[in-house]
Amino acid sequence: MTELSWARSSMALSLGFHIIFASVSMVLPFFMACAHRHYLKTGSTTHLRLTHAWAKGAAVLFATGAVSGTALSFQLGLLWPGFMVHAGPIIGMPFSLEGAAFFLEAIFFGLFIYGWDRLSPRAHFASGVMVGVCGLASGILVVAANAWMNSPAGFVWENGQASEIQPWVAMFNRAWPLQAAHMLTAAVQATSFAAAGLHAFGLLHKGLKPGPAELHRAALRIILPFAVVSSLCQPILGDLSAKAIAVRQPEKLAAMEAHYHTASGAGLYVGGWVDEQAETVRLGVQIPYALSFLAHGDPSAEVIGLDRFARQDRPPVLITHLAFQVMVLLGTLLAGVSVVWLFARKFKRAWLDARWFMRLLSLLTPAGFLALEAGWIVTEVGRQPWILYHVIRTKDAVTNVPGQSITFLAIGLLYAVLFVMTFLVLARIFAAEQAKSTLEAQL
Amino acid sequence: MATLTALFLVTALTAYVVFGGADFGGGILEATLPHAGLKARLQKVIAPVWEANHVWLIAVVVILFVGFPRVYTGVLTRLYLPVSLALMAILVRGACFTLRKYDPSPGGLSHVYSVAFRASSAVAPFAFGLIVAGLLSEHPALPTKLDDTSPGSAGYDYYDFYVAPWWGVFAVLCGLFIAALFAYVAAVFFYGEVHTAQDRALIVKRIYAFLASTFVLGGAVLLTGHLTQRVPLAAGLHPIQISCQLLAAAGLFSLVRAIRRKRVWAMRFSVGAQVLAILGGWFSAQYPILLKVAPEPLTLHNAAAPAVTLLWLNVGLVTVLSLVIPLLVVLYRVFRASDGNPPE
Repeated sequence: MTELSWARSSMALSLGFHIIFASVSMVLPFFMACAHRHYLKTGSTTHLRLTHAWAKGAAVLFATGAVSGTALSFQLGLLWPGFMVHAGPIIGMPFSLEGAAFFLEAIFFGLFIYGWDRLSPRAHFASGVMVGVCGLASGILVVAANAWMNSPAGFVWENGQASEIQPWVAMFNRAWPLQAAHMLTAAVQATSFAAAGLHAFGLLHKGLKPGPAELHRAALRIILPFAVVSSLCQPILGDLSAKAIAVRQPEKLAAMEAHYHTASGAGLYVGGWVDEQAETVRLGVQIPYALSFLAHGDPSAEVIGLDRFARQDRPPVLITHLAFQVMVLLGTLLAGVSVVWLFARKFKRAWLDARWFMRLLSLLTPAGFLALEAGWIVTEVGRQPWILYHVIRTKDAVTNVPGQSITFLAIGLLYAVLFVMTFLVLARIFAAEQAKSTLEAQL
Repeated sequence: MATLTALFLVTALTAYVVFGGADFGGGILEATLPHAGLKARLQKVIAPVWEANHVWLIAVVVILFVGFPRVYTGVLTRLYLPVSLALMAILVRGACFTLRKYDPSPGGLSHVYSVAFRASSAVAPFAFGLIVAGLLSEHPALPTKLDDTSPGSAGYDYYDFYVAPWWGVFAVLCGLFIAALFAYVAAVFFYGEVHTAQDRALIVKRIYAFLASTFVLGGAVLLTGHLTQRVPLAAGLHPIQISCQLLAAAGLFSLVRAIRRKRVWAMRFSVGAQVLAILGGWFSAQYPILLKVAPEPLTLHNAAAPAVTLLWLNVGLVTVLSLVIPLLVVLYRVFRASDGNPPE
């Protein structure tokens, strides 16, 4: 592997790691706030326990997210100085604001976690809500920077230098609104399905005491509406995103769909394996006209294929296509489960407590996060060979410092250990909180 | 505009050295504390604020990245290894601290968490010292094309490019100096958080011990810096340098007085003044150069981002600071309430 490939792997690993913790710290505070509000209104000890349990989980995940995010702010420069040296003055605005939002998030988090008996109930509740609000804001802002990489704006590029810089135009680039909406919804979806899966798993336990059973049911009552609403919105946002990409980054769409040959009335591949040498998809099922319809809302519209781009300007097709299929498959699955939940709520309330439904939910624990990671693979790999779309190539941005394989191995080892440790401690917190709620129910 | 941005940079860095420094130093201090009660107390004091303390580092990075992009990328290229070391230490430290706190049944792991937390608390400031040494050193011109630096080609020397500027006796001394300084700052802060006369006496001992090591190591840094031509001692006669030295001396004097009179806040302000004096001395010695690269050093002026970016960065920073500082005050005030006090 080349130095460039190692550097890209390091970046992928760090972003893929950070995004899990960042997503949870955007969404979990809202679950926490819901439980907290219920407790403040009714005095329910179950909801108080639930608030504590989630707050502990959030604290562990938030810390890992905070340190890996700090590392990322350096890594961007360590790995991609040729990009960052130009990007700073142009797209620095959302980065600075993101830093600010994160600062506020950390402060409010401290106030919430340690403020139980030091703040008034109202101030304490508000600080919990503010953790989520600042988390969302920082997520939205940091996506602005990524959207700018897909849709560069706010500068003129001449002879390898940017001039006539307009920071606000860069920040409010055209890709931002949809990309932010798609990502935030994905974060809600991923976190809520992961959390719902864990609580459903808890309910499956044989010989479960009444305390923890009530705790898990209360948790599901809070989480599932988030899961369902986000999962039903997501296909719409995904479709809008694909339509926007079809116009703005046609080669990315072509790679997502493994669409090699420009055609009107193009068909959509489902499944199959991409042969990049032969430029075909093997064993895939093709739905006629579907791609043209999905991309442009017209079954006979022309969809630009990869053949319009020189080979050195094409993104890797196999990875992009596979990741895209995984994302769509999982998204469809989660939307389907959401429809089942809505149906059951209206017509078959017994299903909501049925063991098969709990089994289904616990099987889906990682599904949202897998879809989210797959989506980021689509957007990042699909933008290659550019780091800044049609302006700077990734290979021109990579650092001169040799030995990137060692960096990769070091980061990989560190993150693997951190990942295992974090989830080990989360599992222990889960068990300990169950035990506490058993005791509380006996009182 | 660039000067104003630089001022914010200095402010953020100072805040990081004081708050983040106290935080790292806390880990070093913990290793020297004689009994579990004090260790638990220290952990309790750090817990609510450590994440907020570390955001100052992100502020430093963002200001460099947006306001002085060539310095940001220059530092991260030239000082790739010590920066990576610092990052790994920060990661391990934060994770171990949190895991230790929240693991409900750590068993044998609790020892692992503690050792890793303390070790990384010392490694991070040491790495910062290496970075400072790298900032004070001359860097050779890098070949511009990637191919020219690939191993085996003419003009390639990994050691000269990426190691020599931040390695050697001077750099190691810088690392030890910063670790000692952080531990000293932490000990002074922690003094106000313990309440029995016995514990306070234990902390005072550590304050003096860390102060002495900071002083000796600082002298060694200046001497080796002078010998290796990184720190021109003659520049010490500049008025700003002299006022920094006076400030440091005054801080030392008032610290000793405050310890005698058991004035917690006077101690904290004195140590703050000393940190400010040290940073002031460093910055004024280096001004206006940010990174000494050949053929032309990067300065506050030639490496600054375009005016429009600096304008909005400064506007943003003013807004952010006016929001963050009152909230930080609330955070620190809420948690200053000592154990004995009834909750508000």
